[in-house]
Amino acid sequence: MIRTIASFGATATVIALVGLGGIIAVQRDRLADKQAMIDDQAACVASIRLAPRADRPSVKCDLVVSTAVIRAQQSIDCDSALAGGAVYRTAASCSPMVKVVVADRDTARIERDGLQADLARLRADQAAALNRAAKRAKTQAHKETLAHAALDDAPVDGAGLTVCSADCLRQLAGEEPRAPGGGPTR
Amino acid sequence: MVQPADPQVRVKVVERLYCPADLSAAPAPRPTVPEGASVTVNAKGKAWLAALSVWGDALLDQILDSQAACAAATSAPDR
Repeated sequence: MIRTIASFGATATVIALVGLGGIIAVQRDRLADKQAMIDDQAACVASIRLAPRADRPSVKCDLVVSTAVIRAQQSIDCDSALAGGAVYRTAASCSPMVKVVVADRDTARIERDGLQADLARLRADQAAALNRAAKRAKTQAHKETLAHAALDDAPVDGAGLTVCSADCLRQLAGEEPRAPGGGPTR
Repeated sequence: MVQPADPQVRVKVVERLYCPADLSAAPAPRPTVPEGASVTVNAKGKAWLAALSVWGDALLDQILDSQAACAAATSAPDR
């Protein structure tokens, strides 16, 4: 009877030890996995610290982390490119939406500059045109005086009509008067 | 969010101006007074004759000024 009980106890102890050993082995593997994850994350952070501008931070990094790091770095690059007015760096680092806004802004600036140049040119043109018109008006007044003088100097016939001869007409037209004795002077 | 395509197109617009040929052409010469010509006019006719002559001169001056201004504007650098 005692032997039976002792045998049963020994068997139970062996079973318990084997089970305990299995549990320890499983826990040790899980611990090793956790440690590997922690090491990977430390390596990932270290690689980001060492080379924050790397296109791909580290193979140890999770895709989500590396994508976020790349995005953040591009955003910083984009800001500095925008601040410095570097067109091609803007094109390389900024997101498409930012590039659309920047392109719209640049187009608006170019249009504004063009319109301002047009306005300045038109003002200058207008001033020049006014000057020319004033000069022409002066010339016209002078020619009007000459034309009236030519007709006023012409003889008047018996009926009170003015007879404007060829010389009078030439004077009216602003031509050189012909030399006496006929023949053109030029 | 829908991402638009990368705007990588650069456009340069060059505007060139040309004077119309009929403005650039030399104006027709003023008719010369023929030998022995004579015109008899009353007072109103006199005023009209003087005004006609001045009008023609003013037109010619305006055309010459326009030609010069057009030539200057079109020879300016690209805007």
